[in-house]
Parts: sequence; C-alpha cells; structure tokens
Amino acid sequence: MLFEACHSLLQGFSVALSLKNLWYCFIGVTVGNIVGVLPGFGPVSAVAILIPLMYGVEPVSAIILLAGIYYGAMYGGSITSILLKIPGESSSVMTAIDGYELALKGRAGPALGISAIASFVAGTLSVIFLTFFAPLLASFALSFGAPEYFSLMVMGFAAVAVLSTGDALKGGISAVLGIILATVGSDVITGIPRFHFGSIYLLDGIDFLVVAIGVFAIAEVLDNVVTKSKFGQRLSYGKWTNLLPSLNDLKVSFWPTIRATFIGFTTGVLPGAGATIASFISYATEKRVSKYPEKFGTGVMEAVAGPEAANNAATGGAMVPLLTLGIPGSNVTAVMLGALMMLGLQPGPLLFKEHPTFVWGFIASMYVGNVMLLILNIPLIGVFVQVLRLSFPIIAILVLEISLVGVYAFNNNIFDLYIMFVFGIIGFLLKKLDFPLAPMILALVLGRIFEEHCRRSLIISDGSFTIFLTRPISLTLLVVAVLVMFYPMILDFIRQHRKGKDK
Amino acid sequence: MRRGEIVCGILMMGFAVFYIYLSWEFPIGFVKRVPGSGMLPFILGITLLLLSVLYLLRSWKKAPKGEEFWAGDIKSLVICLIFYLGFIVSIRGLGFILSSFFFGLMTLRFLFKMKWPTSIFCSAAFTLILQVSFYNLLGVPLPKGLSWKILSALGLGYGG
Repeated sequence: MLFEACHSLLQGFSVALSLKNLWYCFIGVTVGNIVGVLPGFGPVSAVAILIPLMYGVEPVSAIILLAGIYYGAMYGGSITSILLKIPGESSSVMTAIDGYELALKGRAGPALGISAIASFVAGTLSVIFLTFFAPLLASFALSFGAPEYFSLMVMGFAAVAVLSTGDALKGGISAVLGIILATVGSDVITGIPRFHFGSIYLLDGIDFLVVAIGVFAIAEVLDNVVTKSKFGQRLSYGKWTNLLPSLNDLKVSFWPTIRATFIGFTTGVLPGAGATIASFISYATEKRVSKYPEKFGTGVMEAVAGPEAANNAATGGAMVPLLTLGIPGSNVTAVMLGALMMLGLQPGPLLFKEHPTFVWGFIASMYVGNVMLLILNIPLIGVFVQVLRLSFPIIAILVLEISLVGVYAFNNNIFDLYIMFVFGIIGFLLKKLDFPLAPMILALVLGRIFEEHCRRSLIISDGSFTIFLTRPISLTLLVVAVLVMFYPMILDFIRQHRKGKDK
Repeated sequence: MRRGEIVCGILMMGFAVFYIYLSWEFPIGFVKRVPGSGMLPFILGITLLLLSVLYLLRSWKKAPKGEEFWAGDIKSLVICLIFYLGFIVSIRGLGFILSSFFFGLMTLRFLFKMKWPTSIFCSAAFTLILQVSFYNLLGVPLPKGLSWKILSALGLGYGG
C-alpha cells in the first residue's frame, strides 16, 4: 500500500510540476495569502468568486488554484494577527494573542518567521498524512455522531475557557456569552427566529468576524488610546538578522509544531470542526504542557507556532473526507465540493480509482504550494515588519478603517458596523477586567453547531441526557473535559502534596 | 479594580435574568421530552446567572482595591468613539470616500494632534488605498453616497 501511494504520488508530481499547474498554484497561494491578510474577505468568498472563472479550465488546474487559496489564506491570516491584532480568519484568533504581544516586544519578525515555518512544516506533514492515511481516518470520522460532536465541543470550550488565562470562572463566563451570542437568529432545528428584537439583520445571527474584529482590533486601539500607546517603544530591531527566528525560537517551536500537526490534521478530518477549533485546542495543549503556562498571553513563541501549525495541518485533514467520502470538512471545502461537481467530478471513494491523475496531481500540488508559500513569506518578513515602524496614530487609523471596510465587505451591510462598534466597547471593558476574549469567539463560531448536535442527540435519545455518557467516544471526551476544567485545582493539589512530602 | 468588577458582576446578573426571561417565550421541551428552541438559551441563562453570582461574590471578597479600570485618558477615548461612530453613521449618506477622509482628518488632527498638512495627506492616502484595494481590486461595493455624485459631477466617477 505504501509503495502504491508513493508511486501514485510520483505520478501526481509529474502533473503538479507542469508549468501550467505551477502557475495556477502560484496564483492560488498568492491570492490566498492576500485574502488571509484582509479581514472580512475570507477564503470562502475568494473561492466562491473564482469558481465561475474555472469554466473551461482543466479540473486538476482548477482545484490546484482553489486549494492554493485555502491554505494560502491560513498563512496570510497570521500576518495581521501578529502585527495589528486583527485576525484575518477565525483560525488566526489564537495567533493574535501571543503573536501581537511578541510584536509589542519588538519580536514581530521572529514571530512571523516561526508562523511561516510552522505553517510550512505542518502543511507539508499534513499532506504526507493525507497521502498515506486518508481512507483510514475517513472511516474513523464516520463513527462520530451528534453526541460525539457535542462532547468534542464541550471539551474544546472547557480547554479554552480554563487554559486561555487560567481563570476558569472568567473563561467560563466568556464562553457562555459566546454561545448566547450564537443563539441570536433563526433556530437551527425549527427555524423559529430568536432574540432578533424585530430586526431583519439579526435573523441570520451575528457573524463571528464582526464580533472578533470588534473585541480584538477595535478594543486594542481603544485601549492604546486610553493608556497612551506603547507603539512608539517598539521601533528598534537592530540588525536585519533580528527579524529572523533565532535558533532558540526554532528549538522551542519544534515540539509545539509537531503536536499541533497531529491535532490539526485529526481535527480537520472531522466535518464541522476544522482549522479554528484545531488552533484553539493546540493553544490549550501547549499551555498545558508548558513549563511556564503563566507566560502564555504575554508573548510566547510556542503559542504562535502551535496554533499556526494546527490551522495549516487542518487544511490537509479537511481534504480527507472531501476526497474520500465527498463530505466537506469546512466551509471552504464545502464550496470546493460544489466546484468539483461543477467540473464534472463526483468526490468519493471512486474518485481515487476513476481519476487518479486528478487526485494525486492535486495532492502533489499541495506539497509544491507549501514550498511556494515559505519562499514567498520569509523574504517578505522585513516588509511586513515595516508596518510596526509607523507611529500609533497612523496604525490606529489604519486598524479602524481596515476593520470597518473588512466588516462591511463581509456582508455589505452597515448594520454589522454598529455591531462591531458595540463589541469594540464591550471588548475594551472586558479586556480591562482581564476577561479572556478567545473563549467567547470560539463559542460564537461553534455555538450553532453545538446547539444543533446537542438537540439532535436529545431527539435521538428521547430527551435523555444519558446519551452523552453511554457512547464510549462521547464519554471519553466528556471525561477529558471534566479533567481539563478541574486541571488547575488538580495541579494545585499535586503541588501542595509535593510540598508537604518535601517538608 | 474592585468597584469595576462588582459593577460588571451586577450587569452580567441583570443580563442573565433578562435573557432567561426572553428564553421563556420559546418552547423549552422538558415536558414533551423533545428539546425545544428555548432549551439551550434557558440552560445558558441559568449558567450565566450562577457564574455571575460566583464572580460577584469572588470580587466582593478577593478583588484588590487597586486602580480602577476607567483610569486613563477617558476624554481621548470618548472623542475616538464619537469620531468612529460618526464615520459609521455618515458612511451611507456621504459615501465611503468622504466619510473615510473626514474620519481620518478629524482623528489625526484633533485626537492625535498631528499637523494639518500631515493629517490631510495621510487621510487622503488611506482613503485612496482602501478604495482601490477593496472597491476596484476586490469588487466590494463600498457605499457611494455623496462622494460619488461629486466625483461624477467632476467627471471623475468610474466603475459604475
């Protein structure tokens, strides 16, 4: 089987390395990189816009370009997260926390470098996994039903709430507020409109990006206005080599990247979970295994490497159910599924047999695309970092205007701008009170799916909550969630016990 | 920060009670054993209420009496918020170009005390960059409003 996969992959490279496909790959990753940088203009919109242009293009070239946009956006999303604390994508939210703190310390260059390298390593490894383990993982993902997904999300919420600041109470409140925000709009099961206060704009719910830009970007500017910004202090980087990651940066980021690759890939395989939850779980994991968890949130390189590796590995994972089962693992792959069908291909187990040139050419192009992204991003670090040399007033205006245009671009709706404004103020107040904001965003992103799986499970069990405890995978995930929730207390207990023993 | 935390705790409790009240409008489904659209909101409301009470109690007992969170340059904050809200409110009527230019100009000049020429140059440059990137390159239909009418009258309107 291994030999067969290697042989098919070599054939795939002969397709991917043709001049025409290299060009499509380059266009895809470049557009993706730019799209990832711009808030509000995500890869879903870019892929959707480009689909009509794919008529008449060879299917393999078309899919190479569309996939390039997808993983290119994952690379690009980290740039504004690190430099301006504006997450271009929901999967870059975790990168913004420590990445931005590193930028404040004058280490934006190394953070961008580590982000690009971790993304490259994880992206490449995830394509290797995709090559060899695709059918096996797809069948595991099939065993996940509604209760398992519900429990997976409970575990994700618990991990992020507890581990993002170490204050379980504040993290819990933040997560609950996020799910509450997700309940605004039409009910996921019955379609009954809820909490819309007569506004047609709220019927579709509140978009996470509008809230994320408000609580991260706008709140950050407001905070800097009040505290008389620290921006002016982070201008000197010394030699150009200071812009690149040091050996120590690479060393501390090695294991987080490897761990996050596994987390990202397996999470990406699960339909609906995707890159965002992967980056959250990776951040939580790194904080848990770290020797200095208290430093997370203040600018730690591992907290950049992990989430960035995870969100890139998830793109490879998301291709598994798409190619082998025809089930999209994320919004972008859902649009890509439409594109494949438009091009006359039916994704599923037969795709590997009937169109091997297409599948393996596409997989091989992902290796090539990752190399292209690394080559594109590393030399540009110096250019990106110049943004930080601007004075605070210029940065503030840029952030406020880009945020406004980005949010408007999302739905072409002015009402969203008011929501962003309100959440800017709420984010500023919560930030001042030391509430972690990441759990709120994760909960808002996943809230609707969370409710859907919760209610579907209860419908299956005739209203009995025991369904979550009687299925082995679900039970295991819930046990992990409980352990995570009580982790700080368990840790305290162990420390005190050790101290007692020493005495 | 004790006072700020207590105020926040009380506000969250109030919000939780209001949310529970709203969720009663929808079928909860405990009786029929089929989860209704009000079930999760009801559970979330109760959870938030409990967490807020815990937060309030903890703040009452433990929060240090340090600097309140509203310490700092509140006047600048208010000015910044007023200008930004003005930008949002005026974007439909004035169009993106004019509202963006005026927002940049007012903020740079009156909030950050930059010189007039620098403020005018920077705000015009940002507006141009954003207009070209989002409207022309990405096709985002930014509001046109009065800006477009003026540009068209001057024979500078483009792109429909």
